Amino acid sequence: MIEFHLDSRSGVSPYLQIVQQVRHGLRLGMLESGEQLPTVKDVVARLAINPNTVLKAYRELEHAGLVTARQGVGTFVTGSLGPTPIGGHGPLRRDLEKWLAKARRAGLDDESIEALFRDTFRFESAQDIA
Amino acid sequence: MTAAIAAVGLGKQYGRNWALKDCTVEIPSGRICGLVGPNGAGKTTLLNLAVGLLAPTEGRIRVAGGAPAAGPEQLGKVGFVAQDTPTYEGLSVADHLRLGEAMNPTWDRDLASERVATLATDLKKKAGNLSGGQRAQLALTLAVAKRPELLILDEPVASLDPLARRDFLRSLTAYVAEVGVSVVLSSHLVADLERVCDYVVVLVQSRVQLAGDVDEMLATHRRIVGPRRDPASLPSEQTVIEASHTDRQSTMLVRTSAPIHDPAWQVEEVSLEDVVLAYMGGTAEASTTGRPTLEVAQ
Amino acid sequence: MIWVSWRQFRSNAIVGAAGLVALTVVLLLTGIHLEHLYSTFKAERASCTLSCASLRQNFLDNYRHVRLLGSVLVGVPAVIGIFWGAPLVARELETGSFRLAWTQGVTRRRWLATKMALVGLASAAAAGLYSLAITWWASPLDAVNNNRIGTALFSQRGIVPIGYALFAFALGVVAGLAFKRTLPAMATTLVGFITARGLTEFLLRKHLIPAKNATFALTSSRGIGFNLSHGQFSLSPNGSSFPGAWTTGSKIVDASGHAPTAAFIQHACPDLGRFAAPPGAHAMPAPGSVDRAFSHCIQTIGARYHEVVSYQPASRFWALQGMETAVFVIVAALLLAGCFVLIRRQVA
Repeated sequence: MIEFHLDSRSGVSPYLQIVQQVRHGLRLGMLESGEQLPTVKDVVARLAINPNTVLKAYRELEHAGLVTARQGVGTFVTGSLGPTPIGGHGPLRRDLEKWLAKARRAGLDDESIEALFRDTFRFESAQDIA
Repeated sequence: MTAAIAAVGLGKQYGRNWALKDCTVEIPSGRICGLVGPNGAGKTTLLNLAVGLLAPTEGRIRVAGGAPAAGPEQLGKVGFVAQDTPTYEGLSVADHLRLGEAMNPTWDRDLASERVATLATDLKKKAGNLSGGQRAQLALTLAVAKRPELLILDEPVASLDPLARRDFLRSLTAYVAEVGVSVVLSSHLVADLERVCDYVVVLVQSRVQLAGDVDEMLATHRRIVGPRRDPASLPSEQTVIEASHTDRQSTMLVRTSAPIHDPAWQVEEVSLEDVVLAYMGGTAEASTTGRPTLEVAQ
Repeated sequence: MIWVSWRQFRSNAIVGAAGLVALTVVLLLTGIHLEHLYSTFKAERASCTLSCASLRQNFLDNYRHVRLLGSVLVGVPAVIGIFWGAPLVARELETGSFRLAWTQGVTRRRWLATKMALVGLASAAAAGLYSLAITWWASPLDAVNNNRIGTALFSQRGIVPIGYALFAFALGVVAGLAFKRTLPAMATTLVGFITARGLTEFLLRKHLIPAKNATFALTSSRGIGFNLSHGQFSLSPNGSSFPGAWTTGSKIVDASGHAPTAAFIQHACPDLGRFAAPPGAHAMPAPGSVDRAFSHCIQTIGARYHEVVSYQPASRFWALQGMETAVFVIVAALLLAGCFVLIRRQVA
């Protein structure tokens, strides 16, 4: 069974950290279909976090089709995240390279490019969930 | 759904001093709500009014749909862990459980003994000889074993060491996960509440400076750093909460409803503590500069 | 809630019970012996001819030290008020445990009422049992002395100690609520109790039931006295009434209620100045040499004046006990009722 941990300095909200850890576990094969996720109570008792945080993360995972909650039993892994198909990487990488070149021409240095990317990325993912 | 605590124009006077004045606040139920504010903001007074230990000098307060301490039923609906977690020094842990059972018709004996078992202490030990953490856990046990709808905790972890603090919050959150109770807990330290609370009310000098969902607060606040600029020139969807300037540079904490695209700004995420402190800080000038207060509707 | 009150009162109750048991043992052992001595004394008195007075005195001298337990009873209500009454609520307020107690599923009013009822009953029982034991133990001595009314013994016998104890307890509780601190509440209880008891003893008690009046003719055998002050004579009454009764006042008056004037006394007794003692002395006895002149003088005054003595007869002992107990119990009830008003107000 997977065990969650929280990095309070990462700036990533706790529920996203849980979501990411499940996705990561699926991708690396640490979590398999049919396996049970820790109960909300167990996670909460271990991490001393708000139960709604865990519920929100599990709902998010359910929404993404990765897990299924069974009333009164627990939450089980039902989906899988295979390694992302390499085929999609090439074109995306080329787009990103073009965008980076554009950013440099606009006068942005490495730090500000990184910050811009990070902020836009987080804001988008927050919007998706809300 | 009725609010956990709803106060209108609430005030409490001691002699000539007002411990709380004209306080209007609504804390939703079904949440773990952190009541944050500097010492002397009126947090303890507000909570004592909510559990009926104090009677208001003016204004109204409803708690879990009823008047505070109006009768046995209302008392049964609200569990309270007072500041410094008072217990009866001369009584043993077992005596306290028996006391809770004798004084609460809704007492859950199994829950109480189960919780006390995790305390890892002799049931015959006198409460006066317990460690601060154990005493706080005992007080929490008394408050939860009566199966309240609303649990109110006044600075429950302020006097605990970090380990006891974490144990206490663990056992609190585990209980909430199990029975789904509304919780209001106060603290002058935001860090204590950051992970535990999903709703925060910031109280400064009896006034609600900020109240809202924690995730939403984090998603809508950013710190921006860039060349010096008049805060008034920012786009309308950005509201400045806190700003400081040098002759060349401006640093601002803003609330925004859209991503910040202006390339002049370096945009950083903020922690709950940053947000709370921004709303708490410089409230003295709030009235003169018209600093906005935030009410996130739920 | 009864269990909670009992658990908090338990150690106090054990101390009180232990004290009562020790007291009972002492009084029982000596009391049985005293009963025995009493029957012996009664037999001897029936046949005594010469040394009746010393026989009586010898009997009364038995167990002088045990008799002090009666005086201790005077302090018991104060101890109850200080150690059971004052801390009852004050300690909760002082330690902050009221914040635990008052947020359980029992209303503050019921919490207070239960504690009051339990400890109040214990107070009444402790004082009552103590008084019962002492009253029984001392009954032979009281019967011989015939002085239970009108002396300090009144408050060490019968049911008044119950009233005192309830009053002291109530005073302690209300002081504790008013001060929110144990020590000032204890001090207030002590001072308040002593004041109330003193006022009762010296002012109130004799008025609880209107006194009876008895009229005595002035004769030389009744032994009235003359006072001389500022060169003027006045009469001082004898003041004795009936055996075992409590004399609450006495005066020498004529039919219309007026006291004799100095001029009248001088006129009736022209020789008074001759056998007057040096100025300042009073209640001068009549020495043998002037016996005749004195008799004449009394006779002259007695023709117009008589002595009126106000008194509570010995038979009113229980009536007075009942009245005084009722007064203290009513005041205690009012004080306890006041506690409910105080506790409803904000306390913290």
